[in-house]
Amino acid sequence: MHEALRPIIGWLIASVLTFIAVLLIFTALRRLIHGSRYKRLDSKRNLFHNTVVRFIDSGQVFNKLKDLRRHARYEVDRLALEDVLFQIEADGRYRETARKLFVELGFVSHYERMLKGESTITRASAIDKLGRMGSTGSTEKLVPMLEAREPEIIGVTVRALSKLGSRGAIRGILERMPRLLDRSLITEKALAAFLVKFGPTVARDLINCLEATDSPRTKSLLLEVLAQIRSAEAVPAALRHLGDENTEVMVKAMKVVETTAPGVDGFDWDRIMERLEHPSWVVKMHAARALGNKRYEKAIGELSMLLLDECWHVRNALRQIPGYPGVDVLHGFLRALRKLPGAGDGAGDKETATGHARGRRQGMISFLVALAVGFNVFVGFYYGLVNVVYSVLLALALVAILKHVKRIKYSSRYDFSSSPETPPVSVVIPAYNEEGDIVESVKSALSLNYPYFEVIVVNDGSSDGTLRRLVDSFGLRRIDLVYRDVIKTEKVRGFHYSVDFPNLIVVDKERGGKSDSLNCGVNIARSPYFCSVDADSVLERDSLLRLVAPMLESTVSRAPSPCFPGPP
Amino acid sequence: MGGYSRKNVSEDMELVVKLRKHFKKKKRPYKIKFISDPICWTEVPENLRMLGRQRRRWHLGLMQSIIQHRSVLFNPAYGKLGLIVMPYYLLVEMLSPFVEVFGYIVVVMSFFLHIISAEFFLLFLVLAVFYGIFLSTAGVFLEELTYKRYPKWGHLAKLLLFGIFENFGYRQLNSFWRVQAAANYFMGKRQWEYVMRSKNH
Repeated sequence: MHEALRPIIGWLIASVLTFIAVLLIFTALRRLIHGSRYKRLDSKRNLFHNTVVRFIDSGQVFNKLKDLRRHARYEVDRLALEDVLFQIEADGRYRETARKLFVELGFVSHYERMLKGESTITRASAIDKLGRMGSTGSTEKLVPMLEAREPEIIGVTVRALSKLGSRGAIRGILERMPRLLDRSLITEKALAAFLVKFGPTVARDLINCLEATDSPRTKSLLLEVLAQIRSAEAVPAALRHLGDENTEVMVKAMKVVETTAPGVDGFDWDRIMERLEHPSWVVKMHAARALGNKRYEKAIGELSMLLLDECWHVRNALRQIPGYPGVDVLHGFLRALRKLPGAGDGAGDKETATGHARGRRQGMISFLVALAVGFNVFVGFYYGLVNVVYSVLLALALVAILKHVKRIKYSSRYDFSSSPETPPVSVVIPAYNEEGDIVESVKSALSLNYPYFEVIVVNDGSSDGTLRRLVDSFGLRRIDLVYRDVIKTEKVRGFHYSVDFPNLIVVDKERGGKSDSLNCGVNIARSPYFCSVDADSVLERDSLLRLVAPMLESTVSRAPSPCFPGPP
Repeated sequence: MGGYSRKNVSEDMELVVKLRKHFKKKKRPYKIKFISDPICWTEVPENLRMLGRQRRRWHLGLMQSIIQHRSVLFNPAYGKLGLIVMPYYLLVEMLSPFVEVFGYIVVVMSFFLHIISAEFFLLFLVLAVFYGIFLSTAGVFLEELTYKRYPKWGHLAKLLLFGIFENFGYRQLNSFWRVQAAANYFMGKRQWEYVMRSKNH
């Protein structure tokens, strides 16, 4: 039998060798070609940049259009010119001219043609480019893309339309409102972020849509956007929805009140005070903030009671209001203390891990001599199986990675870097005897490019100078925090904060292992989103953005936080 | 779900398995996404002893995850996790070091028993090694297509060469460590072996 297999194996070897050779040659060629292509692109870009700017400054650009159009025929030149125009558009002085140039030089029509293409990625990329080009004239062509089958296309279109900001764009989105939320990957948060970009001018449209729709999801989304836009027109509409049976809608209406009503005269603040008794913490929080923003005197007593509330968010609601009358709050607080029977805090839920699973003792079967042959055959098949599996994984990885890299080009992550909708993230770094690397890692974590995040370092009872190095490098000082160990961990010895880095917390605890430290960090984390990083790892600056972006565009609902009454 | 499991030494894999199991059980929609961009740079062990400890720990964690969640294996209620992913880890990742180490022993034995010829054995060996090289090269190629983090030709050459040389020594060492981990496990030693970090980068 072995004789028969020999030529087969021979052929297999030959083919594998060929594959290897092919891969190597391909890699080398690709590098060479790409390298030269990149250099050409670069040089053309520089050339065009100088030329175009000179044309624009001389006021002659539209006369020189013929020259530019000639250049725009070849692929590399076209790309270079396009990049240059994008660069120029970013500069406020030349924005209008660049936009006109996009149209006149045929870039806009080129991408509009691509909208009819077959491939999702091609279309999405075209939509993204049109949005970035600020081509408001394309609005009519883009709005129908909201009806596309693929949720990915809908997401990119909404983003592009929000960059255009035209009336047609906002109307197009609002008309399709309840359906958009159901069918697309865009969650309410992301959609709200984009609508906010349109600015206060669209408040009227939003309010009209609010009155016209029945869907609670849509209503709460629109109220959220109105709250962020802070348009006074929205207050009457918000008042009407304060009594809505859907909690989410009511909460959002309350949020509008919080951000906008303090500036409005003749507002009935007593009604808001009633909401301080509401069972839901979100309602209480917004009501408290609204009253705080207004500096409503009558409410001080009630608001002080909130300092003892079970939920962290409610307790924190007042802290963010600068210059709130401190002494009166203190008196109110002391009065409230006397009234209470005893401070009770709700013990967090505790799910104990199920019992220790004992591994089944598996004895090692020893092959007898006669079975050696059987083993050989087995190895042959096993090896075949393993390699087939690996090859399949390789092929799948190739396809997935290529798609992913193309998608990154029109991804939304940089749009989120300055949006208030981006969720806060807690970065947890467990550390045990890491005095060599810990300062570097923490510094790299602190310099992440992300709007709201905190860094929690958990010192797992290190026996070396880890904690000392942290204290020295970041100027740490001890602080006592209210700590609820929702997940039970080893005993915590203390907390430290840094004056220079307000979003850094260092926790010192008894040794318990990496999982234990992570649990401790998660307990402290103020955000329902956390990211665990090893103490010897260095993160790239965009890491959190890259990680969060796909999450915001997912169809699955958001994570429940410790205070949030999540689904059972 | 009670946070990270304290009993498992590779808590990251454990957490993902736990999450998938939990949501599948509750039949709630969920998504676990993998972001393939290189965004984190980490240190690797500096010497063989530490490397051995690290690899043993990884294999130990893998075994712990599989054994603790063995109800998931081949269980259609858990969809892809139960029918494809966990069996893959069991059959391919967990079993292969045993097959390999055992294979060396049996091959030598087979020699002496004249069951196979030297030629055949050599051919098979060559095929195996070359396929390993192919996979490594494909990996490097994938990286070339996408993230291009190694622009220098010299680096590329190094990567490819390592892809070749790893088959002669490093692979075997790895398999040995993994079998060691399994042996430790079945003899009751299930703790985290501490890997010392070097002070300089």
